[in-house]
Amino acid sequence: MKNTMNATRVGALLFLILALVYGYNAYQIPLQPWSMDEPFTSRTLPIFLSVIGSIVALLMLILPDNDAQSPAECFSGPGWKVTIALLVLMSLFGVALKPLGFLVSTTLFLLGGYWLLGERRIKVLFLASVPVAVGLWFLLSRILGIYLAPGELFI
Amino acid sequence: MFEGITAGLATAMAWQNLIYVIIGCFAGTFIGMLPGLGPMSAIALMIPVTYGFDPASGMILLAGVYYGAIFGGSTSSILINAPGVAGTVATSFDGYPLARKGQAGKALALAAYASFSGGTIAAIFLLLAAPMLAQVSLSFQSPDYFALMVLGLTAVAAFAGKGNVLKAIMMAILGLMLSTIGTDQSSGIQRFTFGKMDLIDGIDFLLLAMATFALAEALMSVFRPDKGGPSSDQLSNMGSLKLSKQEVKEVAPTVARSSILGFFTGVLPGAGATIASFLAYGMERNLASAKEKLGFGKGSLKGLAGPETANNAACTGSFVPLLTLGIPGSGTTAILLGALISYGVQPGPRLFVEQPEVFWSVIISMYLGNLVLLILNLPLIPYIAKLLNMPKQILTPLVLFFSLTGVYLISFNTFDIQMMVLFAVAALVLKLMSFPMAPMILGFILGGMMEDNLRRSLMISDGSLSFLWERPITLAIISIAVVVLLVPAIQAFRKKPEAVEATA
Repeated sequence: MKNTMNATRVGALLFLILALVYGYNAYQIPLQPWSMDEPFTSRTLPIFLSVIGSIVALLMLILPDNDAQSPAECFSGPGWKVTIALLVLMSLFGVALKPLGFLVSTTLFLLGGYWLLGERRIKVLFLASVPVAVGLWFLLSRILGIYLAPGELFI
Repeated sequence: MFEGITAGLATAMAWQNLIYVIIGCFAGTFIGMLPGLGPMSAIALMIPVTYGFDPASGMILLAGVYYGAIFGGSTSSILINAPGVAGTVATSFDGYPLARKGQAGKALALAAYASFSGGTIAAIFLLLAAPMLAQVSLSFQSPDYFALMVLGLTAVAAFAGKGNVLKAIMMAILGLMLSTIGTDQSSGIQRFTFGKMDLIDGIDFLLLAMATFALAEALMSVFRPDKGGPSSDQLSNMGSLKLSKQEVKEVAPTVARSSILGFFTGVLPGAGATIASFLAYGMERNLASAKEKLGFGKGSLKGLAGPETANNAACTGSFVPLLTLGIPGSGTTAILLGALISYGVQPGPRLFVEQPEVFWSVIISMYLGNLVLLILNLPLIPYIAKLLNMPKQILTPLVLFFSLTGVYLISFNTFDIQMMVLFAVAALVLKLMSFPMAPMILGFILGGMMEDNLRRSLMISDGSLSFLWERPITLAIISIAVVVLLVPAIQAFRKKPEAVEATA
């Protein structure tokens, strides 16, 4: 077996850890005193899932898997930097929504997204973001009557 | 039953529902055409739009999106050899070569006619089969439902393809695990919430679907961009949309065979459009004469019509278990089930009895959806295809944005956005290790119901697992589940020695 630690095994190992942590937490689920002897409690399914999950993960670790790629092959992609940047941008969007409000954070998110993916024309950057944000804001708050809280910074 | 049909007909024909079918088909076609975004993403993206609709209208729109997405996938398979959907991979085998020969218009028209015929024939089957199955399933009890859900999950895993069965099972278990987060419905006890208020209600299914499909698929296209997009030349030069009489005659038997095959494949839990289309392609190639066989893969009309018919017929077929048993057989129908539940409708045998107008209007609008695709979408395809020219750097951020806000605008909780980012990262990593996502969403949707039925079964049998074999129906379903699971394993063991011999 030349590639002992292929991508599938990495996944299986991660999953085994997850199943065990999940199982440990399943034993921590509080039970009502009267339900202790019942055949089915809030713990039953989680514990069962943890056991089955561990077995499947172990099977996957043990059984030979010749098709799998190495982790390096598996996780390489030309766009990994941009992908991570987009994920960070999405998270920032979530952070910004409350203080900046819907309009500003949407505009900034779209601007940032276009820019990260290589759009550099100023005209396109703004034409594809500001009208979308304003239009959507108008549709939601004026036509559909959904209350969008204004940014806390502006109050 | 006829009252139900007339009520359903009236609902489906209401003018606003007709508009929803049309909107759904267009939106689905457009999203389905975008490389990388499949029907599951399309439906997830459209669900927020339908909140506030009544259940029948919501389902009608989403069914339109489903068909549209499959058709859109066919279009990009044919035009640019980039199937947006796994179900249309087989379409590209013969569709793309046709387009290369300058017959893209003919290929698209044939795809539309084949889809239409497949959908129509399957809709008739559905009309007949669903009420019968709903009648039968009224006698089902908790153990039977539990067994059916086990069968659904194992079948999805078993059909995941060679080498992926264990991965698919793992993903199904992961989905079940995620479904246990939140407050236990029966005891009111919090599970796996880690004291977080935001997790008390559990994970919203739309959030999970959006993050693991729409977000992950859009990010994947950034992580590994496809080589070369569509050239505008290919999109504008489609050739005639007409088929000759001779050609129609040639493919008619193919369409008939593939509809039946597709419908029954769709009904089976776990199978669905992808498998149906490959089966149909295989069947047509096997039945073809030696001379015709040479044409397969080089632009054979039969090779295009077969999978196109079958995947649409299978879409229709997959509604049978969803509507009659309340058990989705595929990832897509799992998302539709999630939507139904969030409208406050519990599908299952009682849906047929208590809300016949929902049941029948969905079935009838499926038919309308096929009609819309044929009459409205087909002539507009050249124009919709132009949208594929929209630069990716604009399109991708918009998809990301609509996914995030689609979820945020329902909960108004920014914690949800962070959770989506987290799930998107996890989904991306799992996708890169080629773990399939559909079993996960299916497990997640089925989790609550499965626990419910397991609890009732165990209570009835007083904690003994004997409920699994006491009733013949339960035993039969469980046996099928075991067989379904063991067949790929046995095949794998059998194949090993041959493979060794071949290399030796």
